[in-house]
Amino acid sequence: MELKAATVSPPESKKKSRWPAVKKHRFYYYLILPGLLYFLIFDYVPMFGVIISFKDISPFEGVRGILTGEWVGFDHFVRFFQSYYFWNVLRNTFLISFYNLLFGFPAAIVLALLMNELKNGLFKRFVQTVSYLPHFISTVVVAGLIMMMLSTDNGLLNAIIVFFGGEPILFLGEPKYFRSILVVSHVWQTVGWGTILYLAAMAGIDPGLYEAAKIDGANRLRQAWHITLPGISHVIVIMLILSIGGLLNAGFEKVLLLYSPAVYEVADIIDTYVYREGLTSLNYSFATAVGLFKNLLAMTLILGANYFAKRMNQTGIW
Amino acid sequence: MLESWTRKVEGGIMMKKFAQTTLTAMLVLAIAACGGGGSGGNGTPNGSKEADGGSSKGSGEMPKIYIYQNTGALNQKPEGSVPDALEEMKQMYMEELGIEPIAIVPPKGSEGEKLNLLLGSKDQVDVFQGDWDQYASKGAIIPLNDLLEEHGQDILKAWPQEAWDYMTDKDGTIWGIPRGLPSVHYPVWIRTDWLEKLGLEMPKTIDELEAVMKAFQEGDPDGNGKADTIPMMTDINGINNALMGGFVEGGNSNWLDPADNKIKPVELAPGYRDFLAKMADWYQKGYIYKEAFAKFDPLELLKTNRVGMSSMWYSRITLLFPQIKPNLPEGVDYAIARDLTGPAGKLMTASRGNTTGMLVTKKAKNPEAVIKFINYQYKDLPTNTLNAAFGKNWKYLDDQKFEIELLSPELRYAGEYMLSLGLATENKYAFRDPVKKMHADYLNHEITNVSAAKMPLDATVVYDKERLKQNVPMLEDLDRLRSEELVKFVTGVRPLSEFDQYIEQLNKAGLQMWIDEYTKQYHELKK
Repeated sequence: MELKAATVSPPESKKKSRWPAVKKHRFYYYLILPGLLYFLIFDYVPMFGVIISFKDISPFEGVRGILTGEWVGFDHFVRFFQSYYFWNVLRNTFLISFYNLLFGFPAAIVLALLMNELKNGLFKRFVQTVSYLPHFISTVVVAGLIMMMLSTDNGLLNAIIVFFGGEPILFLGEPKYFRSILVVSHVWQTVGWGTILYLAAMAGIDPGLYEAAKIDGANRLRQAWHITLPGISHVIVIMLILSIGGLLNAGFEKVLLLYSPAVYEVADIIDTYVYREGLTSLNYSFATAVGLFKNLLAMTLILGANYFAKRMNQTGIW
Repeated sequence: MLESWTRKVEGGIMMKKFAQTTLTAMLVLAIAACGGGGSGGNGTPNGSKEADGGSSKGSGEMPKIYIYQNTGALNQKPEGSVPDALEEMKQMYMEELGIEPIAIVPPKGSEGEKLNLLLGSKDQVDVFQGDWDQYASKGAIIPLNDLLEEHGQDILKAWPQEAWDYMTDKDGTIWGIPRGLPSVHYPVWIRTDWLEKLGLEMPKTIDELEAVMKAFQEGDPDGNGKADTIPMMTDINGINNALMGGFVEGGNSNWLDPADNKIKPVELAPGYRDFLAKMADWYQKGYIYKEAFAKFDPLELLKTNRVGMSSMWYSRITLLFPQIKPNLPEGVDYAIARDLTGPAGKLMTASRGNTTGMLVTKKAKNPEAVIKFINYQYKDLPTNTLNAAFGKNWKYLDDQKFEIELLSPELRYAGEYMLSLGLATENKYAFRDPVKKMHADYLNHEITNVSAAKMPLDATVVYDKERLKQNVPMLEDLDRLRSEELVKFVTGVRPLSEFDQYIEQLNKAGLQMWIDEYTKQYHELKK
């Protein structure tokens, strides 16, 4: 009996002891409240809307339409899977995102490693600032810059080609160049911002390790390889998992602003497909079904990446 | 020990409690305020919000109408009116009609998307421009027969029966106020000063047109010593509507196959392949602008003084060219190449009368006020429509009340309340101002001259878009495939030898369903 009481009591006391702490620090909890409310109101409540992907709704009946629409099961999903462009938009989405990850993800690490080696503080800050700046430029402006740079009329790149005797190339109208343009501009825009976390992690590495390595005769490349990289590996893994979670976000705005029928074959992604079907053609239910499918894929990816990361080196988000 | 420490800390905290609680309350209030601002701003730009707030004071029971201004009236001043000029116009309507107009200005380039969001939300929107056949079947708009009969006699008189036919469904319900008539929108414009300089005649045939483009390309007509002339500025709609008729019997139109009496897309019509071949040849030779099928700015291109011809939407020349003409060398001019023909006849295809009109939403609280408001602009033409378009910034130059000019080139009122834009009002006046004259002349003398073009076979058939969507689930895919492959063939990305494979692709994407549904509706609905 006593034993039973003893086995039961610890969780109770634990439970009891939590509330005074919460009460004591209640002001900190109040501070979390706006953030929680934000996610609740803007991220969780709207999730209710996903039910329209299983219904046929009239787009102009608002919330009433969501509630009263006829249930159609998985019809909209089946229609998407049977769509002539299903594999095309899926392939484009994966490829553009994959290339962004393949080139953009290591680029930030390499740049951070290079910046870490800079000894001149002023120059280092200058490089950091210059590399961060593109992050703050709006996508519309970036698309405008790309169009101007690549124009066959007075575009910088074509001017160089013509100067060396070549023929101007319609870069944005040629399927073979389009994805490369997206990826290069993505790397340019994100590489500086991506270094922030890595530089912060590098600042936390014990300087004694570098001194010991120097005494052992390690040059700077060896130090970067054997000390810096392992020192930030946990951050790299977490960033990789998060990046894989966002793998299906292939950069909707930029694609929408730059693509044209000439390059649909390599540029049309799930998001642009949803945009055309949903907002332009008013097939809200169908567009929601496609969006939901994309989110399920993204969730599978992030869970998969987390699982493998934990299996490999015990680091994960959960 | 821990408790006493906690008490001390709590005592300290108590001192700050008031400040912290206030801070938290402020945070919550700030979020609430942001949320409120967000919903208020949903579809309502600053200008119209200010006007809304300002004029609701003391307006009492006066009916309000919410105008979604997507008619194109704001093209003259896209940033919108100066607030006091807008307020002045609003006061004028309130005094004259006892109706308070409130304008919602959509973001440029996303007018359709924003409208669809607004219609699906709780925000008020009473009248907008759109295709009635898209909105009527979804229950978003109301029939106008009785309202027009009671409050819109001037509107009814202003438009010919032909225009009303396109606004009426097969049961006789009128769903909108017309915006246009069957028109020609894609003439070929040619630089007349270059023709003269190179000693060329205005072309009459497709071969002569090609010869002129060749001469423009090789003859350095702008005399800058560089081979940088762009013989033709165009786009997808441009080649389809301005040139296809020369190769395809029915022009840019669905085709009724005499073999089986079925409606088929133009891609299957005889001559379409020849059309593609000629366009691809022109593109390869550099006659068609390299970026024609990507995104480009026609105004910027015209500024370069390198464009020899345009086969784009007519206003690319009538509106844009006069604006930049003073900055171009003296004598520069564009004129329409008339009576152009190809092996299959006239080059140009007319735009069928469409279903675009001013529509009144189901959630309009004062539909009578909306029709009264629009009807007022159709009264005493063109005075009231000019007021709606230009405010007080215009005057007549003759007794016939036809020629006008703007009092100041600086526009203060942009046209937010203009709901009478359309051919019925636009050809009731003309600008003497050279910058606006070219456009007015086109509207007055050219646009309805449909005899200059081929009329689409099913021009009078208003297809039921909802039924099309239901019965042809791949409709969007087919549309994408058709525009995408057209561009690929013309630009040479895909060789013309693959044309049969392209037709196979169309079949795989659901072409047969498309043919069946269009054929069924065509035979049911043709008048």
